[in-house]
Amino acid sequence: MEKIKTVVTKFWVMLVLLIPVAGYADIVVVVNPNNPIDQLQEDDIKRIFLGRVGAFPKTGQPMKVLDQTRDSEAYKKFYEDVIGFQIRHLKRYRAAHIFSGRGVVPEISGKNSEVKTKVLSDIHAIGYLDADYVDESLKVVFSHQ
Amino acid sequence: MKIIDFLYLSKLLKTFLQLKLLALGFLVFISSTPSFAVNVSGFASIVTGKSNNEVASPGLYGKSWSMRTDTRLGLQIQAPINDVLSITGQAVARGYSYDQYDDYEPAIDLFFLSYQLTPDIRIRAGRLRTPLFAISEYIPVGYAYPWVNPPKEVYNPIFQGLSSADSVDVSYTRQAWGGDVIFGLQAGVIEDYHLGTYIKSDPSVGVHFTYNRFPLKLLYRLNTTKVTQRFSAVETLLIPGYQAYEAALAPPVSQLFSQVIDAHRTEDEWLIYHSLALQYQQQDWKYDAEINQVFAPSEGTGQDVLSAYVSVSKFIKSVEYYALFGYQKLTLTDALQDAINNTYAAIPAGVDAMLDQLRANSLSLYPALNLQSKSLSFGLRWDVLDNVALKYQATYTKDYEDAAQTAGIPVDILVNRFSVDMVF
Repeated sequence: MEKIKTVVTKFWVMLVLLIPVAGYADIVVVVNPNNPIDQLQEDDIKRIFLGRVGAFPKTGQPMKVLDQTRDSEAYKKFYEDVIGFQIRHLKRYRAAHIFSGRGVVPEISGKNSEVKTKVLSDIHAIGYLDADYVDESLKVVFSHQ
Repeated sequence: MKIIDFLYLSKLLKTFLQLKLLALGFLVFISSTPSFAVNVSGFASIVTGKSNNEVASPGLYGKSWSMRTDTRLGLQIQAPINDVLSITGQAVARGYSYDQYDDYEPAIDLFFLSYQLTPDIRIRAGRLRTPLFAISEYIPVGYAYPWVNPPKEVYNPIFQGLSSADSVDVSYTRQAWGGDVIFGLQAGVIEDYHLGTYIKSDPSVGVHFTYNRFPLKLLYRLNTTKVTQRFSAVETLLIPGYQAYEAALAPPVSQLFSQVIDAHRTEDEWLIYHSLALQYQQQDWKYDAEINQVFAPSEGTGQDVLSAYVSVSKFIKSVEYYALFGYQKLTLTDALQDAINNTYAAIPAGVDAMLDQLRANSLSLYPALNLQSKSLSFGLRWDVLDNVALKYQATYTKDYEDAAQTAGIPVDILVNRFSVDMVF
């Protein structure tokens, strides 16, 4: 009986320890590993993906912003949770932004795996991914928890 | 009942092909540059509407359904030349535009070079839209706002033309007060015809300030411009008459007529535009408000303008319902009236019937140019596809009686409009 109690206790302890792990970053922003940028703040991410800056903050390096297709889960999660825009407002914002000649909108590059491939092949690229797609080949510059 | 005009649909198709040809030419032009990506995009607003009144004024709806007044198509190409330099061109074809670009003839609204000096500073030079008011820079893009058209009290003069200038602008973005602040400077020149009026703004200099902290957006625009304005009807029907008196009479009376001639024109006078706008979103509610004031010079035929609108929207699923209230008051300065009154001291009424008629005609400009109107609109926008919205808007406008009747516009107008707005 004591043994069962110990096992149950251990199970609960492990479960409690696992909870923060399960809630860890679900969306990450990544750049090419050769990009000198190491970290970006949430405000930087908003400005980049809303087209309010035309180059990488701090370094001034050229920047190619990659977007996911509208049907991807990461797209909705990224814009609503990280950028703080409802999708219906985002579409109008982008129409106004592009046709006022104030800037370009991100290049639609596919879903997680396609964005990952493009970031790996282009030093100027920046994109967002579901955290599950991240490995050591990419440089994570922002995590959203 | 003919809601859709098929003749105009065929013209739209022809225009679309013209726009594609323009785009092709542009692509050939930029193909000589070492570009690595070209963005081709476009927008269209196909609008049909009718009024409960037949109107004499051009650009307004009559009793029959018309697709001409508000329909427009646009095509844009953006191409990077290198890492920091890019070129953008945008052509817009409008059904009605008050100037030489009538009947879906494409006009170049944007054509500029953009240089990214630093991550936060961008310089643009070429043909740009003048950011006089909150949505001036994307005014033809119906998809970008809830209404069928931007509120006419504020935007009508620039909606149909006169919105672009050959100019240079610099914008600087920085983080402040928990959000993004964009400062901008623009200087340029506009020369165009608008409803038979020659208008030249040289120079036009403006500063703009935008504060973005989602869900709040605040905008302030200040623009000052040196204006020359001549009404063609005044130039042909009134000015020659006064010139005859000026030539026939000796000073100092002839000088009074010189002053009357000058008072019919605006020559190199400074106009000042102020615009303050607020946009706020809270869950399913959206609020837009803007107030504008234009200070005209005390000389000539300049008009002081006060205009404003308030719009409240409620989203229910993919449909946005809105109410919009607009107001405008245009006041002609006293310069012309004073100049004509001075001539009565030299040549009193009843002495010369022809002159009396001439003076009466000039003074009749006052009720025509002192306009005041209010409008109330209700409408909805339904986003049926990712890039397509259907809209309906009913607008009731009440123009103050004297001014409206003199200008040939009915006092009360109810306009119903349907539109399809898309971006691609």
